[in-house]
Amino acid sequence: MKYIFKRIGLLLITMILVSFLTFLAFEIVSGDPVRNMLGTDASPAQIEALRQELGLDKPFLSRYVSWLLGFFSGDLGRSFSYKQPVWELISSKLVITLALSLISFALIILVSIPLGVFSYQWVGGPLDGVRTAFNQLCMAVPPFFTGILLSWTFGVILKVFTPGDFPGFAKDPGGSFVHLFFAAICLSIPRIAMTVRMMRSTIVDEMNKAYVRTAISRGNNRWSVLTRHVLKNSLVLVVTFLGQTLAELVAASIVVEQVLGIPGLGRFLVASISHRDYPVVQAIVVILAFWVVLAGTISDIVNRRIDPRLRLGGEDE
Amino acid sequence: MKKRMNGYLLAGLIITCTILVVALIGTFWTPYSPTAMQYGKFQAPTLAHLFGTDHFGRDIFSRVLKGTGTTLFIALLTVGIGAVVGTFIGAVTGYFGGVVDDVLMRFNDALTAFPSILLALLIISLLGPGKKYNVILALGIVFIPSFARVTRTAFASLRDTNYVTSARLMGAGNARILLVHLLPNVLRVLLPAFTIGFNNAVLAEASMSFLGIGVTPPDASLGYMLSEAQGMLKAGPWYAIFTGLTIVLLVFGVGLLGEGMQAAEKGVE
Amino acid sequence: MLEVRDLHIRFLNRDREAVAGISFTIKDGEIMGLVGESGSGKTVTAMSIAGLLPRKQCEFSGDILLNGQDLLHAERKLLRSMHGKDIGVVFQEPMSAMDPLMKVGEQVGEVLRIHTDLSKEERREKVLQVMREVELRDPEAVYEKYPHELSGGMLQRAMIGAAIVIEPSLLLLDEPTTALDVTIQAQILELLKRLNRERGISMLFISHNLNVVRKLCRRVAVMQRGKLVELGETEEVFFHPLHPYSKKLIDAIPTRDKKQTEP
Repeated sequence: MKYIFKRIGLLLITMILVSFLTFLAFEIVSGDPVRNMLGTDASPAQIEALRQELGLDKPFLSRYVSWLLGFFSGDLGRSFSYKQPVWELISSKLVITLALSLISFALIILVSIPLGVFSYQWVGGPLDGVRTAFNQLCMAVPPFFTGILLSWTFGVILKVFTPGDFPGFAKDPGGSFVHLFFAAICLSIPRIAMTVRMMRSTIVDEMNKAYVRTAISRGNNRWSVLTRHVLKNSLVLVVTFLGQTLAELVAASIVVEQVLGIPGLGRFLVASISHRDYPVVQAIVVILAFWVVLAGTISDIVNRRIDPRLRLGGEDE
Repeated sequence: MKKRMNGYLLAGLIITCTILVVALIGTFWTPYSPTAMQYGKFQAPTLAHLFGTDHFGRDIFSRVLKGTGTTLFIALLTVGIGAVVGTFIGAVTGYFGGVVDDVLMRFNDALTAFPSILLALLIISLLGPGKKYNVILALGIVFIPSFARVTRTAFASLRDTNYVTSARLMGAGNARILLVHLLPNVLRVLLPAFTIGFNNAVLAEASMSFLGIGVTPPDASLGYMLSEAQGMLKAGPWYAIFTGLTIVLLVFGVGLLGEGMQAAEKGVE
Repeated sequence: MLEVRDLHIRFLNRDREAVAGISFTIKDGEIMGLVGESGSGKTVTAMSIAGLLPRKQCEFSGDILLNGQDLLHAERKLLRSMHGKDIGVVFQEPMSAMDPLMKVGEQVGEVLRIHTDLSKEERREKVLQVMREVELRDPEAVYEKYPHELSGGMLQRAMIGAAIVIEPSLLLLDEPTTALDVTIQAQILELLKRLNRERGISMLFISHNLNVVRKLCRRVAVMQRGKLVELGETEEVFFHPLHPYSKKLIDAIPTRDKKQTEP
């Protein structure tokens, strides 16, 4: 219980730090967003009026504090370009991006764990080199290229889905899922390859440990050495790796959303960067930072379940 | 017994060197002008136009040649920044340790935990999108932490070896020990890290340019070309396919190179 | 009961034979010592008796007969059915020899799970019984512990318990006390002596420390560079060593606290 509180505290501190740093960064480098919005021929009076409207006339710290207070009461500020509350703009997009990430994550786990175990069976065999090369090949395929290939084959030729025309969950949940599933395939191929590679080398390392010899000396066969002893011991590293993957998926989905025309957070983030719509960028960055820390927290908690040594000090339960 | 050469290393070297040579040629000479729009729109690949032509009637093969050079240039500079600054930080923190080490490494860990694309996007949005050198700078900064971590471990493990102690007893200063005695040893871990970093840089730059916030015309990297190609997928899928395959081949070759280096280090086939 | 005849083992990447033609026997209910410094081939000998030799990486010849059954050339499957059941092994470092993520009780009962049809409750009963026998205090609590929660001495008791829970014909002890401090070492030796006396378990005790062997074994074999240089009653070897190498080992005894580890 104490552990959970500690993690939540860490989460809060991280978010405050991240938001402060982005706020500060934009403050230092941004140039004048008002001038950006109004163009060069705006009169000083117009500019002043807009500054006041956006609250830019107040000093930096007081703006940050009021932004922070707003953030924790659910008010993420207003977009410069859309003149709408940020939360209204991003909430539906957030759902789509999270759905995409979770579908990809499920795909990665379901495919790479059996594949990782399977690829261990090949170690030292004649096909091991081929498998390694194939693994490298899969890691070399950028998700946006897969996206283009998939939208060409399944979108243009087979017409299974229409790239660029995401139906939305409310209108057509099935169609939306198919759309997201294709995007998830693009996202997961290189990551599955990475996970398989790291699982394989972890299992190889574990197999050389002394406890494996003990297990064999008790009459375990190769399979039960693997399933009863080695897999569980390999899992700690794999879970940490998967936690990082979960964190990165949200960011990586930015590009895939662009290819397949999925109106998620990523596309909106890119547009907002181009328009220098800082309140939106700020809010999305802080939300994604939250996601990153959350993913780390989840993998930590899972690892404490797996490995009793991580529970030392009696903090847990 | 270490084996110097292995299949991965050989295959990786062949692929990478071929691409390097091709890109080098592409910087100085291409069969057609990569920007001339005079060869007929949407021509499928023929002997005259190996990769076909695009929606402006430009020769895609020439564009890919040129684009590969741009991509390589950006990726190498990016990884260069990351490796040099990262190694410097790694040397300072790993060799001297202490409070600087603690603070910098904490900060480093926090940065590494953050998805690299997101970080690069953020830095680009600060520097201003759509400029080549901003992309290089942004990605370069993003790659610093991973190099710092790898080299820090190497420097720290070498610091207390007899070999360094004896150099110190013979009166060598810190700078000399770092540069002459440690750096060559650290290169061993730096090279595989360099291949991984290079691949990440290629993919990250391609993503940025694909999103339209990386390289913009008249420069054309492979990623930017892929985003162009996406628009003409119906009329001429070959543009996307050849450009994409070039990226895959490039990353694959360097990936094999890294795999080969690690295998050679471990001494297994 | 155990008969080793003209055993040769050479690893493929080495020129010198790790074991160069050794022969000895262990009688029923006997504790035999095998002494030598690291690299003398004693651990390789032990591993080949335990059937843990990486066969693909070495050439071997000779016979290892356990109750008439050839271990050296036995098929994998047969070997597996004998592992734990006919031969129990206790390794040098209990902490790394145990699976860090499995409860100690389950590890002690693993042999039962593999080789018997006992139910979970029956296995647990047997495990608790053997834990009492190896003098682990509060077995119910120890059963639920993970290796990192126990001391080295307790873990080694648990390892011994795991090796004898099914009454093997032979207990192989590969430097079981080397990683422990001296008082614990003495306790473990007492325990082994008692188990041998009360249950008649035959043992092969491997050590680099002749003094430890002297406390436990009636007979001892001394190995050097893959060869048996001396074989006989422990006291005989101890007081009238025939071979200069044995003399050297005996002279080395005062420095027994200098811990040596096998590669």
